Amino acid sequence: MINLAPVILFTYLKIDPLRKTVQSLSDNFLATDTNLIIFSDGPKNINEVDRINEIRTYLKSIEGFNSVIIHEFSYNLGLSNSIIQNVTEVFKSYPSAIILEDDIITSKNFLSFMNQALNFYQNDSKILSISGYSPSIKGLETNEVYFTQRSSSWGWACWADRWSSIDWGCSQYEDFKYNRKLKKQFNRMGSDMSYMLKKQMQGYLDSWAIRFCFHQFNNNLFSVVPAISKTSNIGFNDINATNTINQFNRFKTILDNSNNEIYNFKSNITLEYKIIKKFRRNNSLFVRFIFKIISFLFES
Amino acid sequence: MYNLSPIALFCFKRLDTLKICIESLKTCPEAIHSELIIFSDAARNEEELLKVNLIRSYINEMDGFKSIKVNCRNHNFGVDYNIINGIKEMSENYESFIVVEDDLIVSSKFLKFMNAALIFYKSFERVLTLSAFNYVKQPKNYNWDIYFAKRTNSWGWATWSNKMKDVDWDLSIKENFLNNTIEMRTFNEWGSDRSRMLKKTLLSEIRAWDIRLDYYQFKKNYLTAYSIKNLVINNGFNNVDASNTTGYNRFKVNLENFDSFNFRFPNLIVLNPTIKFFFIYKNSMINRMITFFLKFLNYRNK
Repeated sequence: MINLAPVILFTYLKIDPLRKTVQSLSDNFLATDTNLIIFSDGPKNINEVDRINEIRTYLKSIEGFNSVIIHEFSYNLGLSNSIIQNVTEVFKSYPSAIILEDDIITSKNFLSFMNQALNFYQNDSKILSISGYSPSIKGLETNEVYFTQRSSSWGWACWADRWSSIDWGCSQYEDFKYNRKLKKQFNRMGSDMSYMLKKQMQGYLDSWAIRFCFHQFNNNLFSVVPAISKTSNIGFNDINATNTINQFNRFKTILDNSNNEIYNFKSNITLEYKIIKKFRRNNSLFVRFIFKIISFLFES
Repeated sequence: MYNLSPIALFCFKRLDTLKICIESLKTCPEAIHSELIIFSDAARNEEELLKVNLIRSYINEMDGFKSIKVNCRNHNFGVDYNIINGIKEMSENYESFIVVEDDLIVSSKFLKFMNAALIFYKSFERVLTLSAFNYVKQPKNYNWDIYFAKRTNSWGWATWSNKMKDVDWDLSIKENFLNNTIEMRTFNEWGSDRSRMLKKTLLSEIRAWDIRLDYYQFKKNYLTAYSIKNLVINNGFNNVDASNTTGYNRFKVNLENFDSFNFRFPNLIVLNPTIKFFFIYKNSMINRMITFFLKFLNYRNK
């Protein structure tokens, strides 16, 4: 049996989504052979101390994995800092890892898919990351994969060597900023990307993911995405709201419940325009506009 | 406890502000664990000698810090070279340091902020100095505890020794700058007063030290990280006559503090256009004119 990649889980304040995330992860076929490493971010101020303590009590009760290591921070790192810093730390002892946040539920074959993909593309330097999330795309075989140039942050995996070469300071942004052509190209994977990068560089946003994508764009690297999504984000319905709001979520996708563990990985890496068009649909201006209207009409 | 950076304090002849400055530094919980190095400039004449002697006897009796080193100048260096030489001396002996002048009042989070940022931005080559003084209002949705600007600040700042070693303190650029109008204009991008200041300094009309650091920063395209909350106020504007009663309290309202457990520092260089606008506006010609006009109105009403 091949060595399984560890799962790194980031948590902060939300206990309910965290429970669901851990529950679905432990239902995975490979869970009992997987090492789980949890980073629990610390409180920002005095009001958050109780909620953080509740999270940490729960974390200690987690079972169903090969091992569970919990790292607790006494102060608040912020998600972006936490991911950059702690993933780097984990990569000192593992060649690859699977990263989850506390609001991502996974299908039972999520770990199977990620580990197989990590193994298959291990030596292919054109692949930067493996994505667990996929928007619903029709016309693909259920066990197929496709390639994009936009990494997803909802359940993903990466290798230590790729991770270490990322420029988190975005030093190429100065040239990018005034170059329309580059901006347009960057937006090819979703019309929100240049805007997000701009907000990031102006300090209005703190996202590691957009910097990850910018690195991917600058170096022309690809992500492997499954035809049927292995993860689903449950973070959109906040604290009190239940699943109802989710029906108006444009990122809603069909979670793989086929239990299939055999995938057809492709070794020639190309971007297929037809698929990319469907892939970026959720981030297109039109869909964003429609969903704004729907949520305005039905949620208020 | 991690290593705290030492504090360099520059003083000359004003005992009243120095006392307030020291008291405010002591309100920081980190003070008792920090080294304090005082650079006391010497007197120029008999009258100043008395004042300087008072300062030096006050310094010798002081406590409240991990250690206090006093560096008494034996002749008058002037405000510029007292500080410039002080920075050089600090650079030789310490890895990083915090600089305070005797007319400042700092908030109780001052040392915490400085030490945290000194550790965080140590390896950022482009971050030349840190500033705890800030007059820009935090824009909505800007959630960081610092912002970056391309201008140094001399009221409550900190830096790293290795970043100071190449600074051209002696202004060897004199001829080049005075004949280069384009450079003068671009130097004014982060404040319309800068070229004039540098020009005056080059012609020895004024004795400013910070403009030299500013010019170095400009040439290298380096940045200063400013605290989003103002942790420093200047107490030096009220002269000898207008002493205690107005002094401390009037400016106290401007001191702010952080209430979170730790600081949110961006781990990349972000430049916010809104902040830049207000940053420059404060020193702009229009704003100076408005201030002047308001003062004039105020004066007439009296």
